[in-house]
Amino acid sequence: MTLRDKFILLDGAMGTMLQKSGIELGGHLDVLSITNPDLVENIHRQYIESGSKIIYSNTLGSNEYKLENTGYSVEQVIDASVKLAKRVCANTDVKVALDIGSIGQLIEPSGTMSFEEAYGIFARQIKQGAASGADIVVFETMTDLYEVKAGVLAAKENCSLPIFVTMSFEENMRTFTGCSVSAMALTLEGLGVDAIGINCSLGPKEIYNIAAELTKWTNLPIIVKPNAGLPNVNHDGYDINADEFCVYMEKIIDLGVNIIGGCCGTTPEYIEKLSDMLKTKEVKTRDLKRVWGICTPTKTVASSGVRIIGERINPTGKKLFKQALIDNNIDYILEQAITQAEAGADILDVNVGLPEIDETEMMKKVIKSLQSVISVPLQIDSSNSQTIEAALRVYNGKAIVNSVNGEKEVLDTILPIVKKYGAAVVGLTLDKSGIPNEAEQRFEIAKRILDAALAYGINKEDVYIDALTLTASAQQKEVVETLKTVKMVKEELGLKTVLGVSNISFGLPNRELINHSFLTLALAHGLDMPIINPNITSMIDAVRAFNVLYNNDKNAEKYIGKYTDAAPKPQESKDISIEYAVEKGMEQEARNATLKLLETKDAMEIVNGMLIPTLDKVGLMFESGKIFLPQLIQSAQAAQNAFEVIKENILKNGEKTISKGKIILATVKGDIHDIGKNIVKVILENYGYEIIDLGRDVPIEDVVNTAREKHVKLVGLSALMTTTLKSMQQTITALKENGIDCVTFVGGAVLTEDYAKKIGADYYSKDAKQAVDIAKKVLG
Amino acid sequence: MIRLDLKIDKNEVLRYLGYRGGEIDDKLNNLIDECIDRIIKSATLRVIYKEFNISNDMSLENTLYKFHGEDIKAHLSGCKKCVLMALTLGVKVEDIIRTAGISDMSRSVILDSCATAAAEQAADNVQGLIEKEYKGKFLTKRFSPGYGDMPIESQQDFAVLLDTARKIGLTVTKNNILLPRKSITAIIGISDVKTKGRLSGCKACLIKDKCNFRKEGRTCDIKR
Repeated sequence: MTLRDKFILLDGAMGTMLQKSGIELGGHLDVLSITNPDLVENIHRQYIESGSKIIYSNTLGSNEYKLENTGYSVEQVIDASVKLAKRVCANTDVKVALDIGSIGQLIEPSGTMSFEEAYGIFARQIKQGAASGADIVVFETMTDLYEVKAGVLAAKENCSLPIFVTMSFEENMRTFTGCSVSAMALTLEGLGVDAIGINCSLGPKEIYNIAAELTKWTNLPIIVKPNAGLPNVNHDGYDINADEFCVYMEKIIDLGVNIIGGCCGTTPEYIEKLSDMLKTKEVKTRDLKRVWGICTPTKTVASSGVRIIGERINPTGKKLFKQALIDNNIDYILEQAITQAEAGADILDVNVGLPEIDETEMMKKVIKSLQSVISVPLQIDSSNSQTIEAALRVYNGKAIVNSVNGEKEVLDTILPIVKKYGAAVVGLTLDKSGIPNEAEQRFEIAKRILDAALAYGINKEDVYIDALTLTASAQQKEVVETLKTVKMVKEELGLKTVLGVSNISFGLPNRELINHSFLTLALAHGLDMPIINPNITSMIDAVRAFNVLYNNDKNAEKYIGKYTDAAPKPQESKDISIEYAVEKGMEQEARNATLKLLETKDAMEIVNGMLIPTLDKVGLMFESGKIFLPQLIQSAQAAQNAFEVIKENILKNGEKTISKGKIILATVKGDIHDIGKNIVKVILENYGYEIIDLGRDVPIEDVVNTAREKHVKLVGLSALMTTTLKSMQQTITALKENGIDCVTFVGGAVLTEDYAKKIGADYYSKDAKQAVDIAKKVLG
Repeated sequence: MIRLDLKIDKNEVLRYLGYRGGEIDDKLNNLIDECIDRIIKSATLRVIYKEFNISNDMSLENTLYKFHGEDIKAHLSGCKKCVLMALTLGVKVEDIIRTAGISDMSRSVILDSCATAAAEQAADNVQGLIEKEYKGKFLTKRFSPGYGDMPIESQQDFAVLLDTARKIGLTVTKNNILLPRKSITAIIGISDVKTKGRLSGCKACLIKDKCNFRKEGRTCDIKR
């Protein structure tokens, strides 16, 4: 069946019908396929008689998580439900879709379930559904794009059935988790889903606008399966009848939607009316359009105009960054990301390649961490195909891969991965024989890359070309060749262009001047996505000015917003002592004071003679109630700024970093309330302790193994819930049973001194100040 | 769909932050105001509540659920009906608290307290709404899973009974943590005759022996 050319009528609600039959609330509806098959069969039959051509199996919640206490396995329930549906369809042309709903658990980063766990749960459903004879896999009522991605990959890799996906949106055109219509379309079309759309949550009247938005973003067949209007407040039922439903659905069909049905509150009557209505209609063909764009669930980068790619997540030439990678200090990288996003980067390049570390593992970790704190889309920068695949797999949205080049082997290795995960890709205009000097030759390579991408089924819109910047000091003649290539690629191939800019000035004085001058020239030659350091004002300024001059920034609205009444330059900070700056939580001042002190004083003298006594004083003020938590933390943050300066200084002099000893911090298994642990971390770091932060929901064995491998003498555990105190106790017991020679301290709202003792902890820490006292006692 | 404006009382925020009357400079004062504003703009308050009849054996009619524990029984004594309610501020609030935790911990802590204050305030407002709806009846205060001897596992049942995942995007982890974190579930008893209800507040509270507020001779003041 071709999905695009004709109407396909789906069924209406299953849950509504089951509830109407008088079953008790709180049980698992899918189990009825086993305990009351006649009831379920009868509903399917009514829908088929009303005209449904695809019916959804009674398996919406048939996942291992939701079925846990029912006494039935996923396989039993799915097998029964799918076979039951197939039985009803026997001797008809009606197909059975394996219905899969949300797992019912938030997945990372908001929840505790990992992407990989979600994949495993879906895979189990899909394998059984396919084995039991389902014709289609449908994911419906989804609200989390990441969960959908896990499901779609599970379907692609465990069966060969067509895949439908519908998500539930609110009237603001976002799902509960903030996913936009464009992000759904870009991501799922990229992943090779067969039809996408909208179901549940709203009625057809409210869904109209959402469906209209969706038609702008996809060429796939569109599914719309609304509720019977909006729910009646606090009474069961929905507010529009079958006739009204049909009126609104007819409008939706006129948008070019061709797969329709009903969700909550709809009954066979609604489907029958839809069936009658469809007889009078023809599928409206939508104009095929190709959409350029990449995204995360909440942020889509698509419209024309210059888009800035931040270049700072890259260890090349950065000692602190390299050290952070070696130390597994993800927070350092996240800070770089947040700063760039705040400075105006639209996309961030992510490169974590370093010979000393496992690039693939690090990339996975960094991608997951990045998408937990920023919403800008990412460009995965690696030449290792395994790293690229691992990154694309866990990336939530549609990413860019940086990069391939004209070499056949590279294209044949990486392009299939780009295609599978639906990413965009940057092609560098070089090949085995290096970077050609002339623009024409670089253009030839660009063409080759495009052809190869098309041959692998990648859309033209998803191929970007990097014409390669050479340093002006070494290859002055070739600078203009780069610019020419940009222009040719843009005009003759119609592709988006990317260019790393900062290289141009290498070896020249006043690099900034050369950089932003070259940037402006490149933009004038058609550069779409400069890769720059967005923290440098002159670079961002150049882009903003260009957007005005080239009529991208209509009425100079953004420009005026930015530069009218632009805040005056921050005043030169007065001569403030480091002690005062820390006490008052003044970050910049603390930094400046430290820089100045380093001219005359030794680093350790500053730390031990000034910073730590001040922090002690602040700690006492906190204890006595003179200052409260935010002030304590602000002081710590100011001190942290001072420490950073000192650390840079130490690294520059090639000395060893200060470490007064290692401390593990973890929020225990099952608990995700980690704010207290994070406060303790900030404070302890300032006393020169090396904190190994294992995060939240930390498996017991991770604590034990890390303590053993890194010879850690002090372990801090936090838990907020009474229920998770158990895993705190288990963690302490495991440390002891494994003979780890360490001291433990615990903290959390429901803990007391007595309870801490009872579960075997050595110390109870009421707050961050006490944590410091404990660390001093144990580690010195 | 129930729409409610979100309000945050700054004094409440300060209370959650453990403020004990010291000096607050302009910078911090502005930061707190900014955080209040940010939470109000980022939160998507979603609410659901539903009425149930209570049978003599403390089960809810037409459901498979039964209340467990002496405290909830005492709290609902004399009530033939009850309302189960759930609300959440949504995931975006979590996102901004988490992001701030990387770049500015003090901001993160303040945002967290603002969100807690917002959720409690919202629960009060929902209760107000329900009180209006049941004018002439007598309503108990809110009682939540985990109070007194009511098992925290009831969070799972509440989520199913109210279909919270689908209706308002609220889920419960295996460890009975509500996610998004800034969410509240509660029971309000409804009676035709005046009922004392169970003393709510500290005495019924799960952490009454461990609470930091109580240790310092204060209360968390959550109007339960």
